[in-house]
Amino acid sequence: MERTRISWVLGIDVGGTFTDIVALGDAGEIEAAKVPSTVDQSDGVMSAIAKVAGRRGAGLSDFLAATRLVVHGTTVATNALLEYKGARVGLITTAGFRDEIEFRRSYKESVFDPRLKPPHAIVPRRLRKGVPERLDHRGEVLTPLDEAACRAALGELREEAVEAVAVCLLFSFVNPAHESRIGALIDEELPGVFVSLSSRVLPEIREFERVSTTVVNAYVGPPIQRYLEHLAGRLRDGGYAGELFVMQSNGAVQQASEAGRFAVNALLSGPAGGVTAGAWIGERANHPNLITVDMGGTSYDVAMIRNLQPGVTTETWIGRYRVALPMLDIHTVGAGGGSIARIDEGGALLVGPESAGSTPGPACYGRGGTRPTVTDADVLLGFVDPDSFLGGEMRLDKARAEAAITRDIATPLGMDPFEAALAIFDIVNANMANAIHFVTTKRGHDPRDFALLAAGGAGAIHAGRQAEDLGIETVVVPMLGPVFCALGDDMAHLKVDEARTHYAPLAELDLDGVNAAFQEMETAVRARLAGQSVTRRFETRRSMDMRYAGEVHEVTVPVRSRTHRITALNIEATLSDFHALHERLYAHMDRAQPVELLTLRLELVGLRDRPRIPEEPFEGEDASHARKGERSVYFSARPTTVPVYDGPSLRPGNFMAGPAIIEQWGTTIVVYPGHEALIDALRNCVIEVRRENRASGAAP
Amino acid sequence: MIGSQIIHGKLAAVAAEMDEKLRRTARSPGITEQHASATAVFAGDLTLATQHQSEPGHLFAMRASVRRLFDYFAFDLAEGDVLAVADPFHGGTEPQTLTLVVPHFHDGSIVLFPAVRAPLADLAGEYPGAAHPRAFEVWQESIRLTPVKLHRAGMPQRDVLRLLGRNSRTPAVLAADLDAMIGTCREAGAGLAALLRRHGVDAVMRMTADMQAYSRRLVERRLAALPRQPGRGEARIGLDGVGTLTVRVRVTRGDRDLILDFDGTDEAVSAAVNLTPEAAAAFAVTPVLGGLLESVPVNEGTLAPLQCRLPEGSLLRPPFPAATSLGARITGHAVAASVTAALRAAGEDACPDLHGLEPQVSLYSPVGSAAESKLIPLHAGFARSAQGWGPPALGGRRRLASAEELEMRDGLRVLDRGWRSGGGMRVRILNRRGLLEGNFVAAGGLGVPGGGIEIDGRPIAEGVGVALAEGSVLGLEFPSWAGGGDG
Repeated sequence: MERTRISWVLGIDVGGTFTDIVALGDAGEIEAAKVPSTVDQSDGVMSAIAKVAGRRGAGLSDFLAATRLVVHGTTVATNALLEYKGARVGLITTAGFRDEIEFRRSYKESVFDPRLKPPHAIVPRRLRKGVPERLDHRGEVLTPLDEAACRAALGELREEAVEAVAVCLLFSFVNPAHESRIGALIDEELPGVFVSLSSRVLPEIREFERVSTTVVNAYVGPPIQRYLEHLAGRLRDGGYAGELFVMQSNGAVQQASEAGRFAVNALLSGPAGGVTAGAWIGERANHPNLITVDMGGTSYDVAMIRNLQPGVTTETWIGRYRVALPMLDIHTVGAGGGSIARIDEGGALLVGPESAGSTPGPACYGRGGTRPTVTDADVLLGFVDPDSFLGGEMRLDKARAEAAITRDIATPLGMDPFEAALAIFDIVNANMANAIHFVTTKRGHDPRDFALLAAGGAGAIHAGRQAEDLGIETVVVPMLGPVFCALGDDMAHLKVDEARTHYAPLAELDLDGVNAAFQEMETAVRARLAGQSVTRRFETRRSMDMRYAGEVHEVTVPVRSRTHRITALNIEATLSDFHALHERLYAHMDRAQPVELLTLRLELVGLRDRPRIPEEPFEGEDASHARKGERSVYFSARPTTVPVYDGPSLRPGNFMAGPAIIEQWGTTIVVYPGHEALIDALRNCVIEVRRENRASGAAP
Repeated sequence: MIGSQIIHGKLAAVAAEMDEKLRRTARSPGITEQHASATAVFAGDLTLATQHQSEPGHLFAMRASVRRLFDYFAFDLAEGDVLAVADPFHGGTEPQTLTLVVPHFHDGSIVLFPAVRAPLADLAGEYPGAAHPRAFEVWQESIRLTPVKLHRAGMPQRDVLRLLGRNSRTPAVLAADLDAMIGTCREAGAGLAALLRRHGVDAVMRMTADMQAYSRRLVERRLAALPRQPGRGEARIGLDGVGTLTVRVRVTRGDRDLILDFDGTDEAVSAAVNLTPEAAAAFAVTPVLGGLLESVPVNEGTLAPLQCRLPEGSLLRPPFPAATSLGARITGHAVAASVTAALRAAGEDACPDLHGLEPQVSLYSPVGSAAESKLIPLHAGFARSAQGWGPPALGGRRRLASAEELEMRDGLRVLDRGWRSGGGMRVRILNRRGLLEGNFVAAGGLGVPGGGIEIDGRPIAEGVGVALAEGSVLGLEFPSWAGGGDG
């Protein structure tokens, strides 16, 4: 066993197929591993830790004893919602408004599809109870809370054996008194039941957005609480004495107990780690503006990082339910390695969104899948070596890939199998490039002003082509790309968000009221971070959601203030920023138009001392020592012989002119003809892309 | 075909990004909340390359309006021009819906260019907003904006823009909307120019034609699956002061097309429920295309196999200067219902209802009380679709108003909103804003009551300038086209 002086931080991310771990030692040691995911996710977590411990020559308990922090990205909440296996939830609303959750503000995912199925009712109507009470928009009581009716409703919910109760009353974001009282009544009438109050979960205007978020919190709360308690117990039993933290949808981490109470925040727990890692890489590699893409088996996640700050949205839908909390703005399209290619009735080649997943998987997996996928095309084109997939842990069957592509694509289109594979490759690349373009332009940016950071098993195969298509000059493939989300878990700070609707024309703003509201919010968020001992260094960020009177979309503007108290001058500066930001996002501004304040937002960031990954000195450009062979690759209809490099053998400073293939553990990097790759001081592969598109503008 | 798909994917992305940008930059509730706009890319030969829409009504009208604009300015086009038209009798669907085009020149020729179509908040007429249940001529509903240049060679035409502003009760909103539409088209134009530079004009045009042919093939396959036997259908609507109106259609499948012949439909009426031919065609073909509109690229090829015969002087091709402001919201549903009935009569079982009449309400500050009006197009509820969930497909992507926003922003307190025992939605709203006036209409027919409107318990079938005093309660009942509640 090694010296046990090393203190470890563990980032552990559970995905659909693999559970990834990145262990960082306090002297810059790095260990990364993948193990198969398990039904009880804690089994995979413990296996991953054991695998890393074994590599360091330690037993599990010794290794856990030397671990000072475990940060976990989990899909328990996501799966509970997507598979509709959450808690049995009851809902209490203001009388007359119990159907808002079903009305969904009339939103239909497919407007013209007359057979669109309704969303699964996670709160059936019989479990939705309206109780007499009413506040007005100033929070004044119009109808007192009818406690007897409330107790009766709770009694009915008890009969229905609900495991959680969500409460969403009109205007509770202005005055939470009635909701708080109902919370107390639930504790009396239904002790032990999970309680989700909208005034705590999302104290913001718009009842559907609030009730949907609050109900989802109730639905995923009990399963994630159970899971986290179970995992914490196993870690404790294994010898871990530190705190368990969970990656949140906003890209920060939170204590497990807090994460259980605000379970809805864990819905993007997995992918958020990747974006957070992207921001960290951007900081270290001097790329402040990045588009991160993560190409997995079934989906392709795109996110934007500007000035090292990941984009945030409050417009997320998951499992056909609205979650209006600030979450990292991750745009997902159904384009992954498992995406199935087919010819439609009109003769067009479609790729995805249907996916072969990991079971049966692509045809080349040999697990019973017979339909051609993107991975099959990548294998046939020579991008992926069938013998070294996942570091050689899994062998692929090229003949099956070719047979599937020939049968389903090449023959119907009158092509040879390689042309057909190229067609699949081109279509999926175009779909992914269009997604990147949409994500950047909708926020008022030009994709050419960003570097493309490619993660996930297949991300680095396709990124070069997408960059060419979009006019992007640089592609960054991180050293730990295949376990990128787990790396993000290691690097994330702590953060708690608080929001409060404070509706007022800016010209009539009551500054004392605003300052008092911010003070109350800060007190609340500090309480939520008080229980942890990881950091005592905090940073407060305040912002305001503003809009021109009459608009329905708000713009979140950071408040410019050097002091704790916001002054009239600060508001003036913030208003000026609002106009500028509005113009950037929406191409127009009007300083004469009245502006409204809608919501106050406050973030409390607990700054962690991040694990140190040291930079290594450059050792020269020659990469020939890492060259392990060559193979035929189809960049076009005719094959090209391409040198193949062993990724782990490459050293900082090594340079490769494309075409070239770099085989890393868990991924393959394709350096396209005309592109140039350099291994940087953190062992990221930085690819410079041909610049012919730059002058001609970004293609849509 | 692969290259064509990729190019079309990029054109479709341009149209989708236009939609996103327009919705976020405009200020009219019709665009931002009700999503009643459409965006498109046209080829230089004025064929539709791709269209993005959330409401069916724009399906033919976008193309028709663009062609009218180019006919009008055929020998008078320059880089930097911005063309606009908002006239039911120049390819439009309803008054106050404006089509705007920014032609782009590539090496001296117009190859690809963007267009947008969107309802404006107010463009004159007798009452604020577009809906006027008692109108009998077009000028009561709006000014007629025949083809004009808003910008000429890059220079804003201040006289024209001022004229428009002076003829709106919401000039600031109108100006913001026009800015948003122009900005949307300009940004799209830059993207299209980059696409042409990169791939070349010939390749892009060849590929666009490929995709039009592809869409046509898919629509033809859909038509080939319909019964050979012709089918007849009819649908009736009832409107206070007008009586019962009947739309009749005969649907005949040819080898590669479908003819929808509306011979026998009632004549145009002296009321606002007439439908322009372009709108009528859109509502006619939507039940035929149905879910295909979600999956097939909407372009020239999508529309080509569908032929509508609309009798001159009928409700569906009314004579000038007929009023049309409620045609799409009422008669359009009857058109769709008649086609559905005809398809079923022909033996097509898999033909779900897409229609769903519902009460129409728009509120405004009392006419003449101020230079600028406050307009509240009240989308406080929705009819329940025949499939029993959500609003009907013909309702588009309109967003239900938030009760909290209505109270905080507009002074309207929603007292309750929920499913009623009959299965439809019931909403009661208390006016706390001071005196308001409103235009109301609740049409009946199509086999299901069209919903109801009442003020303080007094039913209103239709009315204009109806007073809604402070403290009054507006009750709205929206029908269920499925029947039955979910308990």
